[in-house]
Amino acid sequence: MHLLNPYAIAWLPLVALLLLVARHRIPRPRRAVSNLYLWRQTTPLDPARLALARFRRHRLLALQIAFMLAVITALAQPIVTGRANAASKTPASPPAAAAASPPASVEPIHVLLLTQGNFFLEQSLVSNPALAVDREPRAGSRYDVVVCDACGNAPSAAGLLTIPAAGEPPVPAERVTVSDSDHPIGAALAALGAGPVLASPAARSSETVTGDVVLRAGGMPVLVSTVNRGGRSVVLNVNLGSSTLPLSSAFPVLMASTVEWLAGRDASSEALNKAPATEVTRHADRVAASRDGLWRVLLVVGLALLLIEWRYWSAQERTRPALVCRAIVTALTALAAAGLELPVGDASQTVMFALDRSGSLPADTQTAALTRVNAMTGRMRSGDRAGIVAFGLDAALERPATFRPRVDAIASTTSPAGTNIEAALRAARLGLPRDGARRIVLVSDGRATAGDASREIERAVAEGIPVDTIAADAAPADRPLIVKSVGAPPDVRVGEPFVVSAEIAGPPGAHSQVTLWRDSEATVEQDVEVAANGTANVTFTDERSHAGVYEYRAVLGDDETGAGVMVTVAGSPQILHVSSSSGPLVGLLMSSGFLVRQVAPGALPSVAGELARYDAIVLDDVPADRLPSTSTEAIANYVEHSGGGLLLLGGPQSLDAAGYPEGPLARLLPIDLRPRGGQRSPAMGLVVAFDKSGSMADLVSGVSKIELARQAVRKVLDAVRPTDPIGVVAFDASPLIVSPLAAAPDPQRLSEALRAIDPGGSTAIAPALTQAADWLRRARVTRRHVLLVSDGRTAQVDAERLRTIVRDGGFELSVIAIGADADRRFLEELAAGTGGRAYFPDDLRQLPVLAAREAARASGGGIVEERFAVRAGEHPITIGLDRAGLPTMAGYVVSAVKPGAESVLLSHLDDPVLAAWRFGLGRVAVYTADLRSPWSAGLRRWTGFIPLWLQAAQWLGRPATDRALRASVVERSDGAHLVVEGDTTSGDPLEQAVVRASVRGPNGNEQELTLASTGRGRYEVPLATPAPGPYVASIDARVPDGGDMHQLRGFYWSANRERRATGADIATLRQIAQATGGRLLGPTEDPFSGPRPRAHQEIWTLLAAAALVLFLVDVAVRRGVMFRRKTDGLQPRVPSEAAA
Amino acid sequence: MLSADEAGHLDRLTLAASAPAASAASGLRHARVRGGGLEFQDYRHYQPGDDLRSIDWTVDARLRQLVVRVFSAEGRLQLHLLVDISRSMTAGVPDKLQCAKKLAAALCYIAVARRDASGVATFDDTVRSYLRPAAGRAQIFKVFDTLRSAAAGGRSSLNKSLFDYGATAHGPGLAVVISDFFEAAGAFDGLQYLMYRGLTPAIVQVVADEELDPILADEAELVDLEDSGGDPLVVDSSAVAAYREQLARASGELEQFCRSRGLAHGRVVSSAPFQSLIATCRQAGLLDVHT
Repeated sequence: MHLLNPYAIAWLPLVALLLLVARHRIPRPRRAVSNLYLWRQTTPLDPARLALARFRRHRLLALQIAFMLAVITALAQPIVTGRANAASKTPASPPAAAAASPPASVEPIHVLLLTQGNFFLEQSLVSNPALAVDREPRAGSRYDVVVCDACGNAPSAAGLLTIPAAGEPPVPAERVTVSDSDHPIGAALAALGAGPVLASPAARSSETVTGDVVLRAGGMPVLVSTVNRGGRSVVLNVNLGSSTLPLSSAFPVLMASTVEWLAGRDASSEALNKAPATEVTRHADRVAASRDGLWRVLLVVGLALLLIEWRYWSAQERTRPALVCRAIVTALTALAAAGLELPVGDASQTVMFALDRSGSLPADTQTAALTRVNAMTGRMRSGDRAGIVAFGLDAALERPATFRPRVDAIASTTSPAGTNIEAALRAARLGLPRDGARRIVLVSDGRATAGDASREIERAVAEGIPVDTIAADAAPADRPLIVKSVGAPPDVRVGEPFVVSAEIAGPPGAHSQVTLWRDSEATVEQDVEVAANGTANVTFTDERSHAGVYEYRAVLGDDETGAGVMVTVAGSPQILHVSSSSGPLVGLLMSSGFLVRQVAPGALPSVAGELARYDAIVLDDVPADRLPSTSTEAIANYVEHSGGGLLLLGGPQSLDAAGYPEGPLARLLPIDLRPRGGQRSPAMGLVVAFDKSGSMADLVSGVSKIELARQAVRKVLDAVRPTDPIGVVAFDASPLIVSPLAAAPDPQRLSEALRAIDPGGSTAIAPALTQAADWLRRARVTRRHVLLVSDGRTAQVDAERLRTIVRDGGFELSVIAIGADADRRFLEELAAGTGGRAYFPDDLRQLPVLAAREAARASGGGIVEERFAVRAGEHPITIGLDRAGLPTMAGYVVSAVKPGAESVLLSHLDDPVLAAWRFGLGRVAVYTADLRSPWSAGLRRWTGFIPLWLQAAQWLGRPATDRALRASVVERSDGAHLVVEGDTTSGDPLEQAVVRASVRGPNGNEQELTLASTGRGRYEVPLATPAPGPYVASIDARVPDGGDMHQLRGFYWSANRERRATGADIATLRQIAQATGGRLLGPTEDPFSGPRPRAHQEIWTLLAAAALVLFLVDVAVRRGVMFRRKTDGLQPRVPSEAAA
Repeated sequence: MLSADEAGHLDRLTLAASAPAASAASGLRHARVRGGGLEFQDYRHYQPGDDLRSIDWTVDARLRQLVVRVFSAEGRLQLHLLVDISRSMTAGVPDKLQCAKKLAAALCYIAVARRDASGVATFDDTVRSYLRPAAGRAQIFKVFDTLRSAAAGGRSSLNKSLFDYGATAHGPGLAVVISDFFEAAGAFDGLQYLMYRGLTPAIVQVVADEELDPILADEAELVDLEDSGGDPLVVDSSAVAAYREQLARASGELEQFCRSRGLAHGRVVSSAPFQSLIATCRQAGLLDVHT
């Protein structure tokens, strides 16, 4: 019952009226008197009573009129929605079809186009007949959609399409992919089988992309749609000037579907797309569905009306003709609403031929197919129509359905790089008219390499379109010479010989040279001759001495493309040891069978791909600032996405509050190194005094010194514990209090105060330090520290005063000198006198970090230096260790375990000494007690030292292959699928696991995928394979009970899958035909000769007209114009009810 | 129209054609109606212009006064029957129209039997059929036919109908208006006009039982019988008393009108038996016993 559509609102008053009338019993007898004027003088006039009486007198007539109005509205509704459906489907068909069948008289979508003149954009909108485009806002017009191409501010509308202005410099163009094919816009494009389209984003995306990303170019979102309360909006982030997107055939479709989606005109087509095919019966439309509901409603209403008449019609008036009329009117309207059809002879037939133009069919075969189509269309009956769709990887409407469909040569350009039967059937189906007998003839080899034909077959079945198939096949001599496949065992061990074989297919007798490549090195070249059965084989044997994933590729002649295979060679685990010197772990690991490679921090690879061959990386006491930033990103990527292990061995130098917590590795670490307040360290008062004299306005590498000083203060604020009081004072000739000494100053206010400081004036340090000393003396702290940021060049008098203050101040002074001309000797002397340090940075940009580190050092809370007995937590690393004999250690860097991380070793204060967790696909562990220093002497002497670190390395290192996890890549018609099957340790299928995969493609793109369960112990995900070449998938399965498994799998996505599909797939073609009720046509059959259904015509117009006429008759009868009752004038009784 | 039994009741009756209907007034003008009857009625003083032959010389001889003898007119009475056939006359059991027709038929019978001239007109909002008063036995059948063929219909407009009738007929004569007189505008102007035209109206008001004594259940919706499409009136039983008052007042006004002008006035109930109808007419002074 589709009662809740806008048309159903017309029913509501009627239903309410019916209820009212049905509920309202009329208690008052109606009497006719001859002297009403006398009666009138007895009762005062009551307008309400009078109105009610009037209504009651005319209620039947009102009911009848309302009923007829509702019927007419209901009958008009299918026309409107039917047309709207047709209109919303049009854009999804190729542009030619859109032009050929403009929607009849649907209200056009009003579009306001604000552009500086982009030809393709204008054309794509103006040429669409469903749109009414204005280039300037007209007064009094309301626009459904506003297209804003680099315009300033767009007027408000229900839908807004924004194309931002192109940024500088131009960004390289990348391929556009549909990332959300469930979205109506994405679905329209996905159905086209969009070819390779390059687009460059206009602007680097703002970091917050909120909304549904429908299209991407490379990794960048180019089409983002959002729905909010105000309406819908789409951002098309494409540089229309430099990309090929506007040139592609998909662009008009993109614009049309975008505008329709924005205007909200796609709801019905969306509903159609999502409706399961089984529910849709004869009419695959809402029209019929709504009618089915409608006619029941009408029947009920009609019966109710008759019932009411029977009840309230007086005996005198209940004449038979009126009742008969009313019954017939009701029946006619119900029949009309139910969509009664009458057969009117044989249906004329419309046939769409879908011609395969993919690369797997040679040109001769394609020509022969076209000739045959022309021969078949020559035998059409009159009234029949035919059209032609050409398809390869995408589909195009070559000829809309016409009475003269003869085509001598296909003019459409479709990509021959694939066979997309889904797109072909969709284009053909959309090219068919909505009435009459319809049929699709698919001329193809049936080997689909893209799309999922089954979806379109379901639609065709739902719409009652039979699909005939004709097998098109190339003669053996015409088949191309290609590498059909390369075979090799997927898993081998180091030193194990294995066979790589390439299968060549082509015309018998053909010669060629085959080259087998391993990675990027040609290993074998060999001449082959294709045997009589059309195939030839080349094999060679190889063995590898190093573990890793290797790519083998077979290439014919100098053709760069070809087929390949990936071989995973399992061997000893490899570890990358990053340190400036060799540490105690290296020897330990090497002697235990690990392959350890040592590199200096600066020589660390900066690409995650180069790290991927290692099982784990050890950062041995490397301060964060010694690592190149590209390398830290690579390491983060390696851990998170490639599933690598990371062991961070730290000490006081490397683990400080300013180092790792700031960089990209911060989120990887299982511990939080930021300082915390508490009882573990004495309270410290810190005053930062910095120079704001005129020299601070100088620029250093484009940044003013004062700005660096501001940043330094902010950093210092982060680096000290929140409980410690901190004060900030700036000085020139006199001190300027930025923030008085207080714990946890408001960062916001402090920032504003800092920003308000303008450099200027001369320098006098002493007053500022007097102020600082004053503060610190009064503060209730046990340690007092002053951080002076200055160049130290001051007057002699001031310097003398300064010495005095520093000497008597009772605080520790650290100095960070700025400027190459700083008075080094003087500053060092000042600092040394108090036990503080003086820094003279070469690069002033390090000032903030230096300041923060000094503050952290000064606060001193980051380190615990006392003897304690280590305790071991429950963790795989500590399994089997002697818990009773755990060693005593002398100190560690204080940190906190992050939520989700585990402490492997703990201090007496429950601080982590060795903490570990999983991060992304990888694992990370951090040791905070400086393995080389005396702190860890006790641990080094411990008997469990070697097992501890071996187990840590094993836990961290990713196993190359988990035997319980079997990963494979399956080629389906809609692309590659990654399939993972797993067993638990007990041999049962792996269930309820979270299986994730990170796939790295040949061009370095990473895909993050989550596999969905498709059966017991089986997980699957479609894999985007944009380019041919080697892919490496790192698969991580996490089981609910906590265990996890890992698998590294390489596979090769061969180029030219289309050409490797040779020979017709008769079985598939027959299956398509049988599923849709079509036939596999033999050489002499044609689609026009088969049996045809009877044509039917809906006669609701006639029925409705008849009902209207009869309704008039009915009224006439009631009014006494017709079939008047004979009366003798001397009636025996006064009628108790007046005649209507 | 009348059974033999009913006709028998009428045999001894005559129309009480009182003085004004057959005036023997003498004057200078040559009277069109000759009033010279044979029957002595009265004496009156001589006035100049009186026929000298009518002077009773014996009285002059005894009393030395000139007195003339007045004889009752011996002329024919012209009886005009005006029967209301509007839709409102269909009320009642038996309906009022039937009662009115019967009454008209009876009056006609009496008039013809007394060799008076009688004619009949039916009207609703105007005169629908008209039969000139004429004497003779044949007239009775014409009158009965006219009455029989009259069917109720249309709205009533008494004044207009009486004006129309008065425009074509003139006195002297007796005009018996048989109607329910249920009309907001009343009928007084029309009756005045008939009198102006020399006719002597006599009023017979026919009412139905249900009109005299309406029985209402809780609440009723009343519509006008003659205007079924008009606005209905919703009343309840409490209005009945007020209605009775109004009905009495309207009847009283009609009776007052007649009495002040010396016109015969009677009210019959449609369900009353025939003899009671005749008796009411006699009480009203419309009929008289023939001597």
